[in-house]
Amino acid sequence: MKTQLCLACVGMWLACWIAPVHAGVPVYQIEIREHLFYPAELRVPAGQKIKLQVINQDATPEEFESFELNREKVILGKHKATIFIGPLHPGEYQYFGEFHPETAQGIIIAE
Amino acid sequence: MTLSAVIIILREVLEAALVLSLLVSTTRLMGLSYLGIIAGLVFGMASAVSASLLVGVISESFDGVGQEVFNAVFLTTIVLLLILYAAGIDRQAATVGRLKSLLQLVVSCLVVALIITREGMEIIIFVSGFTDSLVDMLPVLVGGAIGTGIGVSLGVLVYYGLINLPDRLAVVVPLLLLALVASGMASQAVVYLMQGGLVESQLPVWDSSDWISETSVTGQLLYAALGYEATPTLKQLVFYCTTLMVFMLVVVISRWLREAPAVRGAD
Repeated sequence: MKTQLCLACVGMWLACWIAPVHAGVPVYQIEIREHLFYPAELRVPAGQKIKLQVINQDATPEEFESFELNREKVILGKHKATIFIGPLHPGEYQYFGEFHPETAQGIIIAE
Repeated sequence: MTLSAVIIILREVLEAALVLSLLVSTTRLMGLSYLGIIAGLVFGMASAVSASLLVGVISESFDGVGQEVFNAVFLTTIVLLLILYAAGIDRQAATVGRLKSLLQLVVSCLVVALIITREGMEIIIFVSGFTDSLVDMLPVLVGGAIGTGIGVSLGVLVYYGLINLPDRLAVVVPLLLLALVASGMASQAVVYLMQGGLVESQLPVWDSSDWISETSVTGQLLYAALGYEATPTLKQLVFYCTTLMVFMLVVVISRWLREAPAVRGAD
């Protein structure tokens, strides 16, 4: 009995960590063209998980990077990437293309 | 372009240079062979090239979050290897036995290879984006060389700092630094799993970006050394602290186990 209880607790604890359910997660798209992000300013709801789809229309690779969001991901030319962000406190979060930071700059506004 | 190339290459090189300087200094301290590290460098470079060629396949695996899985697995493996490596660090290690020396050799080779693969892969992908024209390529190469130069110099500086420590600190300081680097990597592995949606993310526990921004030089150095993040989540902190404690515990227990027979023998 005690063992079963322990196992149940461990199971529940593990379930808290693993999150396979992505149904109902809002999806937002960002495109990279000529080393620029479109839209450069993206508004998303605060306090919930968000799925970003970053589509690199350029032929060259780019790295989606954000210190504020703690995210970094290489996206090859003509490829798309999925990045989960949030839940976020309301505020502004900058991101940039690490391979072309002079032009590839964007901001995500959680509200 | 040159400046951004300096920054991006420096960021990658710095992380690898720091771990390498820790491994080289402890290898010297233990009087072991550098063969493991050299072999690791060679394997690492070869596997960085292979990984950069396979990055498209990796990215598209696991429903588009293969990169995150790949990074999390790599980081976790490096953390476990670092713990194993630290457990074997001892001044007398070279005289303890050939099997153990061999084990340390293999472990250091794997750690170096994995780290070089991770950082090298990104550098190769970055540079590969500019191969079309020489006009674009030249500033990237110049910037890359400067970034590598600064990164390697910092690594060398840390190395000389470590080997010139007074005797009683010579073992403790590198171990502590390795423990902190490993803990930072464990926390980073959790971030990758959150980024891939494999682990539920959370609101950050604090925001210290007003004090030390992650974009600042201090922030970057702290990131490389301690895995500093201005807005960590609770799960990251749990993994950071757990790794730190397990690392320390394993080191203490392994040293106690080594010393115990010697004490018994003296009785």
